[in-house]
Amino acid sequence: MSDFGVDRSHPLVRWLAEQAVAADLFRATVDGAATREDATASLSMRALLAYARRDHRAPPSFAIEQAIRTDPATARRYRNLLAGMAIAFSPVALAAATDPVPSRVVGQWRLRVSQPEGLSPVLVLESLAPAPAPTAIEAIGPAGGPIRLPLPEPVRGSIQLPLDDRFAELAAFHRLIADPQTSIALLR
Amino acid sequence: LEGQVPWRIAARRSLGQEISAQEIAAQEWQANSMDQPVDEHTASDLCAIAEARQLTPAQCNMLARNVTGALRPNRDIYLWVLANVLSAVLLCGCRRRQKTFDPADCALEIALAPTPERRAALMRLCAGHEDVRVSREGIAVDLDSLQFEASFARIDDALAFADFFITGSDGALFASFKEAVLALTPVDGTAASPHEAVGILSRRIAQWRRERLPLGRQERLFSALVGFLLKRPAAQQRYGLLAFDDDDIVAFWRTCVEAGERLMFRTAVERFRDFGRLVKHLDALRSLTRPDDLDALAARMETEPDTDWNATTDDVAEVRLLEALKSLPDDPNALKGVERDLIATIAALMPFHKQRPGSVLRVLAFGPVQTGIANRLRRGGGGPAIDERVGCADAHSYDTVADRFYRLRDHLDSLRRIAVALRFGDKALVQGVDPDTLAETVQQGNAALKRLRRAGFDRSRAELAAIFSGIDGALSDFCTIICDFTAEIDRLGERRTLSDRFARDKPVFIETFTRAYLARQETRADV
Repeated sequence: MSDFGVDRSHPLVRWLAEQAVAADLFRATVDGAATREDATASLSMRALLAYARRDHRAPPSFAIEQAIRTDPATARRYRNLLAGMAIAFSPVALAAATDPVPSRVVGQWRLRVSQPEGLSPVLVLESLAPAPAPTAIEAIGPAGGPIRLPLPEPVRGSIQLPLDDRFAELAAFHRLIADPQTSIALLR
Repeated sequence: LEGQVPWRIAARRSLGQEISAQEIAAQEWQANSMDQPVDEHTASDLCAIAEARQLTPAQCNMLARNVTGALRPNRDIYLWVLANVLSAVLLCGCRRRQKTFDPADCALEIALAPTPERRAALMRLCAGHEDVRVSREGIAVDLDSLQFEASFARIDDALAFADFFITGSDGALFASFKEAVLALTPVDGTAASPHEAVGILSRRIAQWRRERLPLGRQERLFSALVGFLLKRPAAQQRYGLLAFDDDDIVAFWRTCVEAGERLMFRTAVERFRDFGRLVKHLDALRSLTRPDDLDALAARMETEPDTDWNATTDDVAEVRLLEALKSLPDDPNALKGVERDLIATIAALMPFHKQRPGSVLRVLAFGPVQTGIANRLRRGGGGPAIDERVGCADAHSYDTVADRFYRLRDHLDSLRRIAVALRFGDKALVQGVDPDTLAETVQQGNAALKRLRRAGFDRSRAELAAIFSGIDGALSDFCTIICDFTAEIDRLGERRTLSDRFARDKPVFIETFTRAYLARQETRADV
């Protein structure tokens, strides 16, 4: 289409364009019966946000976690919210590192798993710089999750969490963070 | 396949996936149409916010403007309101509970709370602070580092925008909201300056707009429109460089079609309407002589801080009508679905129902033909073939369209009389009204009520009166715009009969539709 020599980025043109898009969106919002159905079919952002903000010791909701595992759109939303909520977030997990003892820096903390002979593996978080300590860690990825674990208080700048294989949740967490595609969030 | 981008199709082809002719037709429709539907995803985000916050249509309108940046002279004005309010709120929250204070939590509580609870929460949070006062009207802050006042109406709009940062676009903007909140967290008991937070939010939403909004397409259309008006022969500009009439709109639409764009005629009319509003608003129609003056217009728009560019009176009228239509009860069935649709159509084209009734008639008669073709292309089938449709055999004549509005006008008029009868039927005297006129109107209203055979009108008089007292204002507004439109149709008909006008217009539309939808297919067959 010829623009007859009128600049497309002219402020006047730009303003008209923004108004036109706003008007279209407004009309779609006011008589948006069709789009609303679509929105109620999956979990609302508010419900997901409330779930991401829940108390660390509150029991997980099976229905919500099922939705996060099965619906890619819900998973994407939950991850985005978690990334926003977290004091530190890493979209890739421990296994992405190449060290024999996998380790990863998430925000001001270095995460690694140490495996003492004959004992359960231990998740260790070391503080790299003075920072408020996280009180929970959450992992979510295509392999499973979300799994949220409360963390103990740091002792001399380091937090230790034994990943005891006898507890299904801890074992699942250990498996999850071994997958390079798992995201890890540190929460307060 | 709808809404799929061309590269995705190309990618599927390169992977050896088969793509049906139907898909290609739909794809071609998308690629050549300037009328792609709005981004469903964003629309559904806004719907969810409107529902959760119980926004009125006027508030939805402001939310859509905020999200798209359609605000002048300062498009970040509501981000400033938001940052100021959050800065003050975080300071109060921080003073209250020093140790356990979580700024993100506090900001989310305030931003996501339903309106009545939010006001109570703000009152509670800011109680006891001399320098942050919350009254029934709004918030007044007087700190060393932060001074502002904001009404609750503004705060509500700003927080609805914040809701979009939190819940919109699958949470992609949420991290920037959190970052802004951290930038607003008070340091050493002093409120943080909002500059940094506004910068963070403004940059992020600008990036989102570039990625997600079809601004480029609209810019293309408007620059073509303005350019078209400027490049007309001098004889057609005798009423002003940017003045236009019904035939200019058709001429512009045909230029677009000739250039290979399948522009909807309705869209062309709407865009001329938008442009007309802006020019009227700038009130510079007569003084314009040269294209350079466009820059002067734009400069005025960007620099005049006292002028509210954000809502014209027509715009507000449209929103108000839609609001009234939406809240009109289904029972009693005062207006049927088709009648509501007719009113909504006119509301969407305001103020052209008074200024350019000829163009409105053209949209109402030939618009559905083009919509039918577009839908068929989009679906890849269904209903009569395209070469049949471009003949406009199904187009409603202007007389048919006018008849519908005459009937609607008569119906609204009798509803208006019924409303008067229900309200004043038992009163002999109403101040400022001639008693004879009143008695006559009441009598007509009672007769109309007796004649009306629609669901819900068999209620007792008292019940009907109670319902009508809530909707008679809206009915009167509907009646006014439909009467305005029919009066304009009458005036058009006096100058030249509607059937004559229709007979003249039809070949033009047939030719242009043929060019847009058939000529293209032939050239493709040649290739």
